[in-house]
Amino acid sequence: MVIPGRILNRKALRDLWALRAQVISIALLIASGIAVFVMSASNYASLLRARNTHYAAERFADVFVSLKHAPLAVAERLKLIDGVGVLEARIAATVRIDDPTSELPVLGRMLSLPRHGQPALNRLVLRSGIWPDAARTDQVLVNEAFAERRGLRPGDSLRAILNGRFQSFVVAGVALSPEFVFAARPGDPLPDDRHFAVLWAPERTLANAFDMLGAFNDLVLTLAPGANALRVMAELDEALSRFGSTGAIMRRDHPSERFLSDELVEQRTLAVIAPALFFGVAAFLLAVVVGRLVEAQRDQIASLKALGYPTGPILQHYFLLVGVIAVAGAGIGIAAGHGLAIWVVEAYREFFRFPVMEHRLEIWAVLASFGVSLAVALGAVLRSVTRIVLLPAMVAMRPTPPQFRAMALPGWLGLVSSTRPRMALRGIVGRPLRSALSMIGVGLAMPLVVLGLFWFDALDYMIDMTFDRIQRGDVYVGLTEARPASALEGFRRLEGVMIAEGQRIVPVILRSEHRTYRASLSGLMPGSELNVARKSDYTRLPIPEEGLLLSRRLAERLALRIGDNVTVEVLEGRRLVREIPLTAISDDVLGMSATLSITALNTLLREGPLINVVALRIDPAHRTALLRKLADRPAIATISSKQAWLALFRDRLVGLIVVSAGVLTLFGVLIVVGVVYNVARVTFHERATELASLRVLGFTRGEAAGILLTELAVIVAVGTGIGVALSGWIVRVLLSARSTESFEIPPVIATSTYVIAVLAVIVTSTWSAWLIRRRVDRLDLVAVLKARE
Amino acid sequence: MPPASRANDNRGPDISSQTVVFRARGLAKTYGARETAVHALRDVDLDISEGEFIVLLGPSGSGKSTLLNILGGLDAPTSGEARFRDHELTGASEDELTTYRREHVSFVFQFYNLIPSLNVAENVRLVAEIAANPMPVEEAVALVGLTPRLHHFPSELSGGEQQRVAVARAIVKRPDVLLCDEPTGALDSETGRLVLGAIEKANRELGTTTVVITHNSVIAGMAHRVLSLRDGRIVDVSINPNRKSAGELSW
Ligand SMILES: Nc1ncnc2c1ncn2[C@@H]1O[C@H](COP(=O)(O)OP(=O)(O)OP(=O)(O)O)[C@@H](O)[C@H]1O
Ligand SMILES: [Mg+2]
Repeated sequence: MVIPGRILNRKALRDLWALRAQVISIALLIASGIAVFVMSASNYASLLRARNTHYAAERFADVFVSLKHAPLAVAERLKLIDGVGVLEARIAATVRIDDPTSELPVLGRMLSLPRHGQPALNRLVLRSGIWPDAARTDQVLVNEAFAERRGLRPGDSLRAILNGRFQSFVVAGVALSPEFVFAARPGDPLPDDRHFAVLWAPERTLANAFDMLGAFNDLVLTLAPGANALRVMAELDEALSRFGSTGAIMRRDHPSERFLSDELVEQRTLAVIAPALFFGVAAFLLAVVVGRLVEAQRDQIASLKALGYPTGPILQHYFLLVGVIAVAGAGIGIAAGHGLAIWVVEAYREFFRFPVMEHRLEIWAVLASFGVSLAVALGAVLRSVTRIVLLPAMVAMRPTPPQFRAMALPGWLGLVSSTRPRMALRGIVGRPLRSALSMIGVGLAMPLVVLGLFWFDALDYMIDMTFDRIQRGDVYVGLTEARPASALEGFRRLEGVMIAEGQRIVPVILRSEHRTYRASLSGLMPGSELNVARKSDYTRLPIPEEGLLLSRRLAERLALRIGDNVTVEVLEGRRLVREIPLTAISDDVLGMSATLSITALNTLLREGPLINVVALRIDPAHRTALLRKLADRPAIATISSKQAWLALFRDRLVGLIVVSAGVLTLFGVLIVVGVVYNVARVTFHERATELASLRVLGFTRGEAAGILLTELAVIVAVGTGIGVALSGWIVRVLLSARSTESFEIPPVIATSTYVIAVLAVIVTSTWSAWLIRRRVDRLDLVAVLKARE
Repeated sequence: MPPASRANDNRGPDISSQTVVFRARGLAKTYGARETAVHALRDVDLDISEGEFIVLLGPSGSGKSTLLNILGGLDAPTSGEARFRDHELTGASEDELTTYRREHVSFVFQFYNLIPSLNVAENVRLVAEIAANPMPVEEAVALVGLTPRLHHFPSELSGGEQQRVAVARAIVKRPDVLLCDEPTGALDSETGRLVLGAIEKANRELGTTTVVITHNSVIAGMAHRVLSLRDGRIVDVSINPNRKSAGELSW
């Protein structure tokens, strides 16, 4: 028995072969979308799994409080608060690690280990070495990132300054902790493993060094099931404020966790937005290419149906054709996405330190890839295929070239006096829907190239804005405690210091109605040379005498407008609370800043003219010596240098960005090629008879191709215009979707980026034009005219 | 001097003393190779005089279109030689053939092959624009009697009207040669006569050398000379002592 459709399926495969160039370009588009999807979905899943496993196994705390000094008995009482699960008190301190080779001071966060074994919460994973002996005070555990960067191994020694006293340690082991998956110094946007270490030492070590016997200054706790986190935190704040607490922090505000969840949000966004773009374009191309194929075969279909052939197999063989493209695209995409994901997970290991971070090909992502590709592809062609296949045979037999009628054509076309350009324009106007879609296709492809390239512009802008225009100091020195402004004189006298400006920075909570935000409130000197608030057009914004100046994102976050009052709660000293009006908004790029004039802040704090940060402009010739001299001063807690930041930035981020921007650009170019080439091919096929007629009439190959190419040129030109207009918008949409708290990429697109994107379109169009031109040259006039289109 | 029918000599300028414009010797066209080879034309010798009206008859597959396409510079023979005046058609490059078509030849095919996006006047003007010495577009359209439809698009015309536009487009450049492959194949007899009338007029008034392929032997009555092809050879040549005009034909 003959199954109807067997032969038709063979026809479907031959059609695929005949259209192979188009088929491949569409399959590659689907593959690109799937690759990004599989990559982001896998990354998302790996990160999420690694995080959840780590948090659960090592019992990551829910709430964190740091304070000045409290007796251990207080902690015992806090355990009784309703809703507290496990609570653990510990000692935390900032120490300086002695490294004469380092230009910048190396800081360490030192945490106490309980008397016996592992902590109850935030347990450690020992990667190598042994657990420190609780009886000894010269053993520490070191975090893996620092140990790797510094080449430290168990048994190596390490010198640190604890509370002003040098102390020698032996590295007992190397460890990981859920608190330091992303191990950055508080306030730093990137982990600087070279200059930041986490050390764990037995409680006695810290208690002795910091005079904390029988006391603690850091609390971590879990919440009991069903507990009201806000109430527990309020009670903790209430109980601990007199011990110098800076307020309880929830897990999601913990810096390490915040960076992790930002990355998760980003991957999730990428998993949805980028594939949507690719699929949109692929669907459009499938609709055009398959639509044209079916249209060209309508009389074949009609005669089959006239012969009594059932409709089912005819429909089915077109769907088979499309299905093969979708499945091939998805297959390639899954393989590529898997490869990319493995690569990204490797890159993650630099940033996120997990005990295990495995990359798995997610089955659901694979299934979703095939499902979505098939659905999109079949959906794209459903209308054009069924429309023609379901036509009654007699109707289908009549060909329907575009119906040009005098009435329907716009009058302005008459202004084009020469016949051939007029033909080209009519070709566009006569198929308004197709032409519009083609233009939109090109218009969507170009922004992808822009999307790949604009990262460099945005980074340039961020670096320029942040480091050259806002934070203009070369070196920022944090003092161990607030000092009179007269201390500046000491800095100015140092050799190599060109400008020294004092700042007063305190941790605060800003409140407006139910919205709150923990921020650092900076008191700046009016007319400061080294810290300048700016508008996005770079104009300088004066520091208000009285009121508060917030960065735009912080103002938006608190839903504040100029003139509104903000409640400022100081988290230091006497924890003063005051209302201050918002009088200015600045356009920072990095972070969320809150600024007062330094006198206003000193007044607010009810203190004299004190400073605790010194910003310096230095003479590069004296840089090394100066930094060394500063590092030796006991009153100095932190030193950060712009130059070191930029180096870290380049070292850590630029490589990653270059690669991902490269991948995006490649995909963008792929879309441009896909759209332009396919539109050109389809137009060529539709016009083959027309072109052959022209050649028969004595038009040269160039003249005949010229008409087609003029038409394509107009489509590409309009599409490029749309692309330029859409680029900014698409970039903004993507950025706002991925916008996270830590930082926001500004939607800055340089003219050169537009130029490159337009060039990409021009080059691919020229290449497609050349391919089409070759086809026109090879047009077999006799064969084309023999076949009735 | 009424010329006699010479079955095996199809070289002579039979009807007049006018010059030979087409000259073919040993023309052959083979598709494929060895066992599967199809000989579309075998060893064809042919001379055509200026202003001559020739009809090609023959069963399907006998090589009529192949011959016409070679004469028109659309196709190249496998062997033999063909020349039009001083244009060597065998071995000519694509560009030389294009120039040849542009300067001397016009085609009319069974399917009208008009440009759907151009109206009647524009379809004709398209060709006028690349011709050295075209007649006014309106005149060419008037010749086929379509003046009232000057601004209509092909999709707004009947098949016969479209074919007349194709004829107008073919004659507007005052071609030296007009080659028609089954120009009435898709038309009813009345419309067919209109189209043939237009072709005849061009032949008579402009002196255009004309070759018409047809399956309809009635049409042969219009010709100066009728060539019959079979299996790629010219098997019969007959000369019409009394040519009929298109209007006199009936089928
Ligand atoms: N491209 C081709 N490949 C192979 N064979 C061909 C090709 N074109 C024509 N032929 C063969 O050459 C022979 C002559 O073809 P041609 O088109 O000249 O015939 P014809 O006399 O015009 O027929 P009809 O009256 O049906 O149009 C035929 O046998 C045909 O099968
Ligand atoms: Mg034929």
